[in-house]
Amino acid sequence: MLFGCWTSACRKAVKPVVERHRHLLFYPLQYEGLEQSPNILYTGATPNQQIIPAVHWALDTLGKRAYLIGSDYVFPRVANTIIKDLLTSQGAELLGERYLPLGSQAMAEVVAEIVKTQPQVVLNSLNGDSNNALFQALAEAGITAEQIPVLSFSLAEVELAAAKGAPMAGHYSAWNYFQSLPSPQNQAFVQRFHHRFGQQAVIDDPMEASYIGLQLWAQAVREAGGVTPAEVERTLLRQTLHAPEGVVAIDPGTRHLWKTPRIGRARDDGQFEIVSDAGRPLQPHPFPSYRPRDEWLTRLKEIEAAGQ
Amino acid sequence: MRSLSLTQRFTLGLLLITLLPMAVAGYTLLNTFKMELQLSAEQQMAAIADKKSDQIDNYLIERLHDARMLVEDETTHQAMNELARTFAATGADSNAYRQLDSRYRGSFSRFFSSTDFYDLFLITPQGRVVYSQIHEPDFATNLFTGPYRNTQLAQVTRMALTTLEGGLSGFEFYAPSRNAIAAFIAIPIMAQGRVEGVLALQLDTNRIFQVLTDNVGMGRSGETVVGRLEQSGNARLMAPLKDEPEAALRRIIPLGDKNRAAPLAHALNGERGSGLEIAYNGTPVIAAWRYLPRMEWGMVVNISADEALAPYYRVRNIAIATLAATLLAIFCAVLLLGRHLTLPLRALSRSAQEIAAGQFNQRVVVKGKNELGELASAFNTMAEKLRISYHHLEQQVDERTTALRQALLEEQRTRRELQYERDYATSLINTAPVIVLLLDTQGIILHANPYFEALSGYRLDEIRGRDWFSTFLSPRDQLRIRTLFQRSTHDMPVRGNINPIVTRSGEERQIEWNDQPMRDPQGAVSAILAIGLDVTAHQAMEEALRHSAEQLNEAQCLAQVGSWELDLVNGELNWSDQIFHIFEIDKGRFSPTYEAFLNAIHPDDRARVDQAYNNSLITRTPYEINHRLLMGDGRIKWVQERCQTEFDCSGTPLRSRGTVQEITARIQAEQALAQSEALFRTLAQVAPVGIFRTDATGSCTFVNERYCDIAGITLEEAQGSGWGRAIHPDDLATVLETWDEAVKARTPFMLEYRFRRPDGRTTWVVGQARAELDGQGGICGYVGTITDISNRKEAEEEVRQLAFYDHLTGLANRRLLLDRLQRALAASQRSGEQGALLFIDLDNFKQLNDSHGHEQGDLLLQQVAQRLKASVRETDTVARLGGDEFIVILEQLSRTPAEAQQQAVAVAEKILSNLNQPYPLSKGPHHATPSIGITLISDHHSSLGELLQQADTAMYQSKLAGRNTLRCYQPPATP
Repeated sequence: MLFGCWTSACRKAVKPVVERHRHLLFYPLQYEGLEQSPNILYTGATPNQQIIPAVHWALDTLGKRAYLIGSDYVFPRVANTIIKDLLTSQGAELLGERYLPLGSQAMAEVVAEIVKTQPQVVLNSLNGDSNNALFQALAEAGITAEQIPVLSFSLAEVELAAAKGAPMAGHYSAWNYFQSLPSPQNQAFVQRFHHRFGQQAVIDDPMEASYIGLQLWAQAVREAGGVTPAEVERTLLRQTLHAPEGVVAIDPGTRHLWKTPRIGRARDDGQFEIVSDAGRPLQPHPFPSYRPRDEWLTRLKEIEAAGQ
Repeated sequence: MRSLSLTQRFTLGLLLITLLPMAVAGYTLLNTFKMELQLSAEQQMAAIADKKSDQIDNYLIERLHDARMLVEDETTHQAMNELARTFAATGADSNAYRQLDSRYRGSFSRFFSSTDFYDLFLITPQGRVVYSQIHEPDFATNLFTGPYRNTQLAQVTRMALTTLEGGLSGFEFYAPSRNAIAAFIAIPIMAQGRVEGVLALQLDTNRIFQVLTDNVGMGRSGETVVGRLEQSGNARLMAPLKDEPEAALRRIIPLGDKNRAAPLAHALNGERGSGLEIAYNGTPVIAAWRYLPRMEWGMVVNISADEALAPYYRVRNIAIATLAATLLAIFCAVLLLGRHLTLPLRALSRSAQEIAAGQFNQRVVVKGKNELGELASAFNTMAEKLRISYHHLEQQVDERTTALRQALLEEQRTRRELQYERDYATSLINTAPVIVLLLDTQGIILHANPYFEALSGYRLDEIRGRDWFSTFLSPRDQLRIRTLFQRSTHDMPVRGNINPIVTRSGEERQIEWNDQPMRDPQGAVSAILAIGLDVTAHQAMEEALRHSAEQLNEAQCLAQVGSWELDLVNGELNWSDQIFHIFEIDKGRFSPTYEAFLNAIHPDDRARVDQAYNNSLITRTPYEINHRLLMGDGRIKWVQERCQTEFDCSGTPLRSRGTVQEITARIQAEQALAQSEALFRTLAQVAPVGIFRTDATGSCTFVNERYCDIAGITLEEAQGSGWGRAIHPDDLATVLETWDEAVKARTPFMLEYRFRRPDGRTTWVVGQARAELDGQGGICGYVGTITDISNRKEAEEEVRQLAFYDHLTGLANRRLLLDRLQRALAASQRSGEQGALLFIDLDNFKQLNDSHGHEQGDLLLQQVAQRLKASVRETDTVARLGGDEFIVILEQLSRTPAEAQQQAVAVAEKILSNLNQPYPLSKGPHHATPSIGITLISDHHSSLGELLQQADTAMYQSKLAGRNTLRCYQPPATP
């Protein structure tokens, strides 16, 4: 049984292997969708469970002048494709769209453009350390979260903790899970986590999604009475779980989870204050249904080809 | 267990051996059977639950699919755009809209050929419902701002617009559909990436309920329960119950109770499982629970445990019945076998009991040759031998018993005697009021009795083992006593030595000690028994006695009292020093005798004194006598003598004791006083004035007869404070006041006042008194006189009458009237209270005088005067001004003029009424009337003349008004 992979690139590399061996992979990250494998169980959010409601919220709440920035790989490119669809459908204005190499720290040009265009919201799908550089550069340019808020799709508590002084407080992130969720179920989970890994350890959405994957697998094993992928597969798709983020259930048609979209605003203490909550789990739609599936796959191929 | 008989043990054992395996096996089998049954029921429920959730989910997915198909249809896009445009342009009531509506209605109605949907809506991105298939009240409203903005339809529409995905709403009572239960599917309608609107479909919920309430394969009691979590933490049922068709959306199931509705709570908690649980209605059920994410529903499929486990209960009952029957059979068989074995044993046991009870002739019947028979004959042989040896034993025992009993009695007697002696000694030591102390030869305390504990203040356990000398002796005594003690240990015991000990409180007690050496069996001194007597009190008493004798002598000297004692048995007479002094006899040269005593007495009194003493011996009573002593130089001394004699039981006098006190000065003073008293009484009897005497408080101690004559009281009545009651009540306060002032100021008292005699007559007196002073200048009483001055007073009164009163009527005359008026004016000015002046003139008086003569006129005036006085208060003044004119002064009326005037008018009306009554004159009844004028006396009048003038003016107004009436003075209007 495999639990793992971080970037979509990694997952896409592993996918053919597990499919060939009819094995089972639990993939814990929110991702761009446009994928469905009989040998993968996706416990992260699909675009309609994260990006789409968050962008809708941002356009409604923050303003309809948006600037897009992302790392240059498949997730930000697909995400921004979807975001641009949304901008169109909502009649919003796209002020700029920039991609930086993975791990890039060179933000001067981008920030200069942001200062120049003065968007009402920056929609950020940068990955990893590049986030530190972006927020540092924004602060240095004198831009506060009140002036131009950034809505990030890959910036969680762990990144906040590792930010080393980069000023992220006041900016927004979209996830299904935040460590600060007040439900008793989550409080107990955080307490157990602290007990095991220390009071300073922080927990975020991908970690919780990994935990969910393992729990679901354990439930399926118990019900099936065996651990081989074939045995687990027999009971896996019917599993539901009272997870720290709330009740989740596997959607057997897509092998993704029903999950609740949420938006948090970063606080000074490295935690998020929840500002928006869909209130109920949404069905996963790895292929946004406003476009036919084959059209999505063509788009994906184009993006991947461009990346190479 | 020990009390059980062999038969019972046998029976129990066999039952246990046979039954236990049966019961264990049966129980295990039954339990396994039950678990298998339960498992199979759970599996069945789980399979049904999975099937049902699939059915529901598939059904909903199909409906979503239907909706998507419809959205992808070009007609739908057309309809959405055209209807939205036309609706926005012309409204729903326009012909253009109606034409469009009827066109699309036809094409959408094909979609309704199945019964899955109830209604279809087209909604603009702004929330306006521009098309409805069946035109319920929700048509044409705005779902974001209109009345239905909080419905599930509105929510699912918003969700579709937000996520750009189709979605299914929750279930609710939907108002536009007459509160029927409704759920909606909403799909965004998009073209070229833009949202054109939303297609919404209202589901026919009956189909979903049909799936849920289909209980095929779930037995008689099977049921499906679906619920949704409420904000409150309770569950709201989403579909009808088997017994409660109306439960959907209405019935709330509390989830707080862990023992109830647990399956539903599990399901809503996202869990998936099955088991034996308590259902929402309190019955135990075999249940399977599932969470349905699409609806956020918890679903429970269950069957009652009773039904599911019915085969188990049947088998269990049969097993119990079989077990009971087997038990009975085994019991009977074992009982029979047991009896067969135990009967001979019982006989043997009975015989053994008889032998044990002394029946040595008892034997058992020997039956057969088996083990029991051999046992019986061996028993009989043993019984015979037992009988023989028993006889021998009995004889020996009798002899030994007699000897032992004797010895025992002897020992008991000795022990009792010893105990008695020990008790006696112990109680003596514990109760005797002497110290009992046991010291070892080194002086270490071994024992002390309770008396010593009480005396010393130490408990025995505190002092045992301590050194006697350092603990209880003061340092100055320690060495000396220790030496004495050492001598005691060498057989020279101390006897009668007095030495003090120091108690815990630090007090010293004088103890007289007697030591006694105690010897061990070898004859050596092992301890000293010290007996101590506390003589502290005794010593103190001796000291006190000596001291008191000295004091007595001193006291006699001070009091000039001498004492003597005569021992009548041996004739010895003792005089105290003071007697020698009184008798002026030299103690050194003279020894006291009774004769010497008699010689010192005045010759005239000797016989009297001697007789008094002898009488007292005869009557056996004490006596007291005053008599004179004649001194050598002819002086006479008075003494008072007291004596008392003691007698034995036969009446023989034993001892006389007496005192002698010189009282010369007192006797002389008494004689002088008696002479003075006699003189005073003579004077008092002959004096022409009343004489009285009081003590310091004014309480009368003496009055003479003349006083009683004047005051009109008896001597006895005058005593104490009785004299006060004779004084005229009007004068009493003045008398007491003047008296007090005189006492305080220490001046002589003098006052003229009246007595009121019992016959009603009044006597005027002038009373005088002076204080009597004691030796220290303090007042010890008063003495005074009263002199009758009634004649003088009468003369004075007559003179006063003539000066101030009208001689005819006795009313105040003009002079007194002016004086009173002046005072009334001043009083009014001082107090602010108003007064009034009434001017009364008799009408037609002159005619009476003329026709009937002055005598009749005078008679009328006198009667008028009386009626006027009777009409007013005592304090008011009535005066005759002259002729037939009268004045009445009213004082102390109200402060406000208006009220004062009312009061004055009231009095005037009373006078008017009284004077109108017929007058009995000597020449028959006469009728007369007055005219009255009133004016107020207030603080701003300047003169009496003005007042009288005003009253006169008012009276004249009455006359003008026709007489026999009254008028108040009206000041003339100021110009």
